[in-house]
Amino acid sequence: MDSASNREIILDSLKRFAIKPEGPVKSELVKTKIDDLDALYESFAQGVTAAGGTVHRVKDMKEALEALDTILKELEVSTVVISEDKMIKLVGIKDYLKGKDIKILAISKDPARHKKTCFSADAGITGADYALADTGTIMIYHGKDNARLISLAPPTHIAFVEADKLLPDIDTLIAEIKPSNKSMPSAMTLITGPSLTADIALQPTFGMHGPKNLYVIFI
Amino acid sequence: MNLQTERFKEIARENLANEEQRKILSQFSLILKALRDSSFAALPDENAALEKGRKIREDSVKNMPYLLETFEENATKAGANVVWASDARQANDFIVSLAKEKGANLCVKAKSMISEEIGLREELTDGGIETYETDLGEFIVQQAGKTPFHIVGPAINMTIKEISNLFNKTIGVPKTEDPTELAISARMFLRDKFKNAQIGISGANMAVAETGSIILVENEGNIRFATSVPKTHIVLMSIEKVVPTMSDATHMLKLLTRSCTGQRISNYVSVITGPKKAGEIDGPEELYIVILDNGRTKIYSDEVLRGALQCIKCGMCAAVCPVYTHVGGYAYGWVYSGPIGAVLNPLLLGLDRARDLYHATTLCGACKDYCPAGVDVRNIALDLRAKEMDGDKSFNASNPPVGLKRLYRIWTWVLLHHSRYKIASRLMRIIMLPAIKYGKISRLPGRLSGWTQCRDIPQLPPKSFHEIYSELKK
Ligand code: SF4
Repeated sequence: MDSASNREIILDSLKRFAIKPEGPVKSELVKTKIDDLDALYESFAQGVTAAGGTVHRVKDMKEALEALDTILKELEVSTVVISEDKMIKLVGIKDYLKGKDIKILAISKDPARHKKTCFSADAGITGADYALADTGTIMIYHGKDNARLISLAPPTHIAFVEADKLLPDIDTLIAEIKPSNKSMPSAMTLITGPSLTADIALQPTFGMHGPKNLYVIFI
Repeated sequence: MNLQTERFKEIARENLANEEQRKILSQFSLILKALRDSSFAALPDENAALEKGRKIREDSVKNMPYLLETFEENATKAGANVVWASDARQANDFIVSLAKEKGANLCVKAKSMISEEIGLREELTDGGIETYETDLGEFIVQQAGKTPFHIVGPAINMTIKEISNLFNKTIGVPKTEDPTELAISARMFLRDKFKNAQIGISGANMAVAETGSIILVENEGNIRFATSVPKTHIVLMSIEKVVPTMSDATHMLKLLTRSCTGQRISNYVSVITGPKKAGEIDGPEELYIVILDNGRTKIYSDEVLRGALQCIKCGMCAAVCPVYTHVGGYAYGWVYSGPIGAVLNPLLLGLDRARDLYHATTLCGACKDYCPAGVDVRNIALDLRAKEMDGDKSFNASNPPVGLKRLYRIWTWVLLHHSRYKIASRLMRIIMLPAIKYGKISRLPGRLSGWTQCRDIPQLPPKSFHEIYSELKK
């Protein structure tokens, strides 16, 4: 197959009939304006819960760790895999868990070992980069310090997000991150609730391929 | 995929007779529509949002070649290999030989209509590469050796029992009546495939020119796996998937998930820009983006028909279509079903091979009212019918039946002039008389019987509006 000549043929035949639009599509959409954190949080929590996840709102890092402890105990988690992003360090999760009865599976730089770790852990713990109030969504920039499988392969995903990262909706998110070719990470994931399917007789089932449980600890 | 577009009437009749399936279909459609309506109502201004979406898709299609160029440039900058394919053969050959080159023997696939269109899974399998559909519905359908029943719920026509028997036979798990257990069996089975696959294949819900990103929408997480674990990720997308900016894309996203399943957002949305970067542990080492034409540039050359390329494959039009909700997805005989399938299948295959499809519409226009992408299926179907009558062979229209053509000519001649119309309607009143019983005609003779098979023709009133009007004026 000659990709270059295909390219030429396809683009040329399209260009014969293409029409340049006047400019970007402008919108006169009504914006929901909520500035008040409590109202935003209310909506966020409602969204997460509606999608089958659970939110804990905590005052500070100390409470965040306590919330984590409760979740891990409740689910009888014995092994965890933890990302290495800023949020995780900020909360001091690793140090906290060291004194507990929980095994932290070390992150391997070797893809095969990493895969094994993530496929076998009971829970994956990560930070989230943003949260969206109107849908109850968290957003994760995947990269060096937040590998993709940590929030995907274990049956439970626990995510930490700070209050000042809570935005009203996806439009505000786009305005905030100003996406460009340079700024985009290799993968960015919007997560709303745990993995879901309704493909068998329309019965909703969580944990189809991804996590069965999603916990958001909102600081 | 098995092509059965020429058997529309036959399959439609078969499926109409399947009471159980019709019940499932109409319930499912009602649920989808209700979910859709309530999720749209939650938008601050649903009509403005719809209008904006339609404009975005219209402009994206108008400007397609330039957007594709920008997309290619940015995707390449991000490290992707962009490849252009003219038809199904080329795309299949490229992907199969790429997989072989990588020494692959196992491939995991995300749900993608375009890969069904070109029969990619079969080609990979024939090429010795074990390939699995990983979306639960598609996985069931693949195991059963069937074709998807519905765009959103490929296997919703199968009962729990059928699926249980199937899994028992094909993947060797104990029978159960619990859907969760069945889902877990599939999860375990596919986990193993995700772990070992060397190739992951996905489609693209959207391609963003501004950033060179691919957007993938799902609920299960299988797409995240297929695009994160294997060393090579291949995206197969048709040319019309491109939109200008990320904010256009996220606007369409809002409309897409709402129209597809009534969700305000799907559980997972992945925005993928290039392969993994230096220092990242997971993610594909290589990302190939295959941009496929497969007959679309030809559709693009026609001003009316190109509207079909605005479609974002949400499936909403099917849920509100009086034809689809009765005959079901199988009747459309190929990858695309429902109103959009009724025009897209003929356009991609040739009108002569799918003639019944664009004739099987009531022209009610519900599809257009609900379409978030501004596709006017009714108008396109009418245009295809006109092409057939006019003998326009650009899309391989078959010759219309001679009698029908003559009939239309007379019809046009009558309608074009007021006095002819008046005489004709007076004549009709008299001609109809002998056939009328209880104020209507319930059965027409011979070849006209089709008209009265499912409906009555009411008796013309003794006086037309015009006659009454002129009498009153005196
Ligand atoms: S034609 Fe419109 S409603 Fe139908 S599938 Fe395409 S985008 Fe959805």
